[in-house]
Parts: sequence; C-alpha cells; structure tokens
Amino acid sequence: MSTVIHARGLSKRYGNSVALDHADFEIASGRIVGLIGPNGAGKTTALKAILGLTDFEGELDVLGLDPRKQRHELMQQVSFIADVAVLPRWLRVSEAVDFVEGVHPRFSRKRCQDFLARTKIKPTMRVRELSKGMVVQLHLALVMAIDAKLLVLDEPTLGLDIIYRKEFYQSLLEDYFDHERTILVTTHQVEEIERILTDLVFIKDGKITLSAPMEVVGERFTEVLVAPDRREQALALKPLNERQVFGKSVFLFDGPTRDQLAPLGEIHKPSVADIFVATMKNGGAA
Amino acid sequence: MNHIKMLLKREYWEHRGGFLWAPVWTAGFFLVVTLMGWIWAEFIGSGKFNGDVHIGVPLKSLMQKIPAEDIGKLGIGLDISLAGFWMVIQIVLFFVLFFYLIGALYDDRKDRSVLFWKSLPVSDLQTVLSKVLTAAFVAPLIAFVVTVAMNLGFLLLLSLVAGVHGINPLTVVWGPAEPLNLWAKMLVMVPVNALWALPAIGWLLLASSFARSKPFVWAVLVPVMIGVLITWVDMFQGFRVPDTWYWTHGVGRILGSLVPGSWVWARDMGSLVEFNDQGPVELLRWDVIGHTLVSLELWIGAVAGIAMIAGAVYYRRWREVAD
Repeated sequence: MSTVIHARGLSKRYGNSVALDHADFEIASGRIVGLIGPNGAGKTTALKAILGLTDFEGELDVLGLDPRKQRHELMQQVSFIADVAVLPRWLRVSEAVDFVEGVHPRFSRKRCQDFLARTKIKPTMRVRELSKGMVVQLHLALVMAIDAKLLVLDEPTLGLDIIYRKEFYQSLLEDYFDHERTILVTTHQVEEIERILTDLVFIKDGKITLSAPMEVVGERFTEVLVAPDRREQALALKPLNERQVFGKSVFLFDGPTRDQLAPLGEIHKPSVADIFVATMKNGGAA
Repeated sequence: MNHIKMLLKREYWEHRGGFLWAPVWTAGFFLVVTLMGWIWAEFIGSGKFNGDVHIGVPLKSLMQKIPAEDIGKLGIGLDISLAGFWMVIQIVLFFVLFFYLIGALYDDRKDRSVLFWKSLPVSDLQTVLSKVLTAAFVAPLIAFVVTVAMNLGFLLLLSLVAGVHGINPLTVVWGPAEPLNLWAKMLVMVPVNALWALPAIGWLLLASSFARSKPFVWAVLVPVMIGVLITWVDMFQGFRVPDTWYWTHGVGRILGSLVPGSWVWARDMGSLVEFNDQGPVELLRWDVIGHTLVSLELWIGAVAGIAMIAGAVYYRRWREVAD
C-alpha cells in the first residue's frame, strides 16, 4: 500500500486566523478517507492545499508531486468536486463532455456517456436548465469517467435532497471505487458516509485530532450504558464523554478494552458522530 | 496545442453572443436599413421629391446612366461605405472585447465555476493565453468574416438596384469598388490591432484576475483616479500645463488601445493621415498600417502588455474564488 498524501507541519494562516496549524497526516492508496471537522476547522483549506489551490507552509506531497509547483501534472491524476454547484450555467452537456475529453488524457467518453444514459440528461441541455440533482449527476458522470488515482470531494452533497445524496455515494462505491483509487471526502453529514469510509481523520482548529482506520476506531472507542451504581467505576476509567439517557449514563471510552468495560454495563458500538462530538469537546483524542 | 484549441472553443461557446451574434445583428441591421432606403427611393420617394437617397453612394447614380468620369467618384464612395461598415463592426467589437476581458478571469471566480475549470489538467498559463488569443485574434477574425459577408451583401444589393434599372452592375458597382484590396487591409489590421491593443488586453486581464470584487472599478476607475491625482499635483507645481503623458500613454493605452485604429490618434500622424469625409478609408491605408507597425510605441506597449499578462497568470494561479 503506497502513500498518496503525506503532510508534515502543514500550516496556513489567513491574516490573524489560523486555518491549519502544523497538521500531520498520511493517506494511503485504496482508501476512502473521511475528513471530518466543524465549520472553520480547516477542512477546506487542507483540501485546497492538497489540490494546489492555495499556498501553505510545511511539507506536502501528493502522489509524489508538490501541489504548489506541479499542479498541472497533479491534475492529470487527481479529480475533485468542490461542492456541486460549480458547473458554469452557460455550458451545454455536450460541450462539457467535449471539453473534458479535449483536455484530460484519462477521460473516457464512452464511460461518461454510459453514466449519462442512465439519467434524463440530454446532450443539448445547458447546465442552467438542469435541476440541482441533474447537475450532480452530470458532474459525477464527468468525474467518474476520469481514471484518476485520487478523488477529492468537498461537501459534495451540500444542498441536495436525500435521494440524490444516497445515489451519489452509491454510484461512487459501485461504479467508481476500486483498490487502486483513493477517495478523500469532507462532509457535515457524517452519518451518511460512515458506512463507506475505511479511514477517519478528525480536524479541529487546524490540528489533526484523530487519524485512524475504521477498524482501529472500532476497537478504540466503545460506548457503555452504565447504571447509576456503577457510575464511579466508569468515571475511574476516564471516559471521553458522558451523556444521560433514561436515568442511565452513556459513557464513551477511548482505549479501554471491551473486557475491561463489559462489567460496567451494556456495550455499544458508537457512531462516528458520537465519537466526533466527544473528541471535539475534549480537545483531541490523538 | 490541443489544449489551446479546446480552450479557444470554450471561450467561443461561452461568448458566442458577443463574438458572433453581436456583429451579425449589427451587419443585418445596416443591410436592412440600406434595403429600406432603396425601397423608399424606389416606390415612395421618387414621385414626391426631387432629392436622392444616399447609401454610401447616391442611389440615382445606380439607377441611370452616368458619365464615365463620374465612375471614379462612385468607386471612392463605395469604398467609403465598405470601410464604414468595417468601422461600425469594429466599434461593436471594441465593446464586446472590453467587457469580455474585464470578466474573463473574474466571472468564473464569482460563480465558483473556476473550481470546475481548475479541477482539469489545464495550466493557468494556457487558460490566460486562450483569453489573450481570443481577444487578439479569434473575435477580430470572426468580426472580419462578418464584415466581408456584410460588404458582399451590400454590393449585391446595389447590383440589384442597378440591375433593376437596366444598368450593368459590373460597370457601376464591381468595377469601381475595390473590396478585395480593402479586405486584404482589414485582414492585415487584425494582427496590427492586436499588437497595438496588447497593453489594454494585458491590463484588463490583470484587473480581471486581481479583483476580489468589482473588476470594472479596478480596471477603469483606479487608473482614471490616479490620472486625476497626477493632474492635480501637476497644477500645484508652478501651474504648469497638466501632464498629458500619463493620459495619452498610460490611461489611453491601457483602456483605449482596443479602439480600432486608435493608434492614429495616439501617435503623431497628423501629417500622414488627414481626416476628411474619407475617414475609415484613411485608416485602411498601407502606409498608415506600416508606419504604425514600425513605431517604437507599439512595441513598448506590447512589452508592457506581455508583462501585465504574466501578472494575470500569477493572479490566476493564486487568487481564490471571489464570492
């Protein structure tokens, strides 16, 4: 498994505010990585740095290239969708296909047309005539027809209704992803991607607070439903978070094994959203 | 190279309205007016008054036999019409290009579609070059083709007028007029104008790539305000005549060079070009074109233009979306 992205001490400030503060992370090939963080945590800045859209300090290597100096070469192997509403409204569908085919050496017109054939999109339509869901389908068809090594998605389903959101991720998984490719995705809606992720990266105030494969996350984090009489015992194991449900305490632990926790009460697998909220509150779980 | 071809197509797709349809509609409008003038002269005007309808040439001279010595005059009149149509299209082209360039590196940052364009393996240099080539060559060449078509339409219409009145159009229209000669000059004017316009192309693209908002203000108001300031300061220094160098060679070049034939005004060509009723034909003279091409001003401006284009490439690379 080779490394696709390697970042050391990645920093970026806008005036007085720090968007990235010595962030370190590695992303291996063949993974689907969720970059999760609250608004303003530095997610988009990190993606922009990876795509060579913004300057930064520190060390960053994407597919062996420096995004600052080799953006043009990088873009032959990287695709990205920076939220869906970015296709120009005057563009015709056929022109979009012609253009991408004309400038991208790894674009397959046939693949793109196969995807489009499954939709109601006609080649003569302009983007402005398409519904928001259709624009997403078009953008996806264009991007999925590119044989890229890394696909970066920044809030790809923002503002879409639930049907298109589901379809979006389903297409990605079924028709696009394979173990040669890497997908890096940011989103607010953790719940909707947690099942497809292989790796999780949490970012807070420009710092990486967690970076681990899902299997490791599953082992590390455990949720236990504890009756009031065992509460002291639970607190002794230093839980990350406590919340009350029907008079019982739900504790989230980072570290203790299931064997250690089983005597305390009923054990659950926490959702990514729960882990996210707990680690954000506590300033880090790395 | 393939990329550039694709990028030029992209510019054409986006701006078909300005590059193709604006000159086509303008040409169509003038041809229709010409046709209306003839119809009026033919059916309504003829019985009612004794005057004549001029559409470049007096219509009457196409409707009746004229003395051989007047044929020469007719030729000059026809050439003025043909060159006048060229001028009209060039003025339309100026407005189209001015607003095209101001928006060229800004509009897609405004509507965020720059994020789509930048997701493709096209370098910023290629992108900016495609816009320069579009403004310098693609749009002017389309305008040239439309002008030729319009000229042909005009001459055919006049031939029809003559033919209807039993006059041989070869002797009164196609003989005296010199469309081929004029078209050759119009075509040569494309690269000459492009070279002359480089500082304007460069400046407008620089403003377009640099502005976080309101590129028009950056492009137009900023240089004008600086000029007002310079003039004002100059007036304090011993009440000299305000310095016009900045206006002629600064503001004039970065905003005005797109105006077709503006080099005639900017340069001291008073001795060469005399403006009379032949206006546009005077612009289309080989010696005037040649004189401009060897002028230092044209080449200094071109170098400044290229420097500003390089600046536009830099800002295209690093400026983020403008929303």
